[in-house]
Amino acid sequence: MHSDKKRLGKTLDKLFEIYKDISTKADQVNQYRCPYKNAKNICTASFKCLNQHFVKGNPSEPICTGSEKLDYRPAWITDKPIDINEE
Amino acid sequence: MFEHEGLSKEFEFVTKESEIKHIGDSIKNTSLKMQTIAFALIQGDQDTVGQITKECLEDGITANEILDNGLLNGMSIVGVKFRDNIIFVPEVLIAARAMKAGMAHIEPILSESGIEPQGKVLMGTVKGDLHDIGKNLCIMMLRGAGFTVYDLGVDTSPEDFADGFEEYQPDVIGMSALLTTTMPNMGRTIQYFEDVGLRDEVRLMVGGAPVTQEFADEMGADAYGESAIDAVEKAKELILLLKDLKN
Repeated sequence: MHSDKKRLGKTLDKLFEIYKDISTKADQVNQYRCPYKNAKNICTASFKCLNQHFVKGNPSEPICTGSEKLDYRPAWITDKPIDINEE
Repeated sequence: MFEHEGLSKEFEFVTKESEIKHIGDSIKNTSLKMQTIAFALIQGDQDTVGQITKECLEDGITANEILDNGLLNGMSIVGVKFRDNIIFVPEVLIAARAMKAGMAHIEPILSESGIEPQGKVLMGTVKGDLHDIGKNLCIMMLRGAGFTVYDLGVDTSPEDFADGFEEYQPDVIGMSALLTTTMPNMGRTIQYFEDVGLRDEVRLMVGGAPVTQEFADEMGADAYGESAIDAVEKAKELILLLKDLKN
């Protein structure tokens, strides 16, 4: 049981190290790329953003039209949820 | 390369020699089930991760093996893909959610092995604010550090935080805000805890892009987390202080 505890502890430490690297990288990427924009350039935010472009027939997955050369934060309207019926 | 075709394709994203050896060696002798867990985690398929983890434990596979050969191998590839800009924060958080689905079955075993949670943290984005990604990154980090975390989501009123406290009895409550307009709701929540007599029962921590140490001090927060990593450190410190107070 003791060795299990030791091995489990080591594994959990490894997991935390992976998360730490991810968190550090996220802090860097978030400087220029909206963190709600996924790898397919789909906006995953639950709030309105001026950079969201809704395509007809797919109201739940707006395309992010934000540029990574401009600050994305002013486009956020984070006190208003997305209304998917509003296209 | 590996028995699991999808995982073999995911492994192609690992391009550094040292990582090809390290992660590749770690995967190559694992069973198809472990590879399926790793692949499902990379895909963010929480149902599959949870289900296979449960089945493996029922079949007598140890928590160590599932963690080392399944969950961690998957998360290692997620880390590489994120570092190399192949995936981004939303995909990482979906993978972290899948990790949580697996860990839900493993946590009781950790407890039995003498690994107790670091403490309980209740998290939420304050009222009027729908921003959640900073909070979700903090939650991922706190869970990775061994905390039990309860998530109240976004737009959380002072009353909701108090109800959450009553329900989960956390050691620490973490409040997040993105907007300068919603930041004062952190102070209002702290005041509400004073008003209803709960302020001394729990430590209150704040964070978010516009929040500073000075603002946290003005509001009377117990700690300010400058980043997700810092939030983990602060939560640990607060829990140590709580333990000292109780002794």
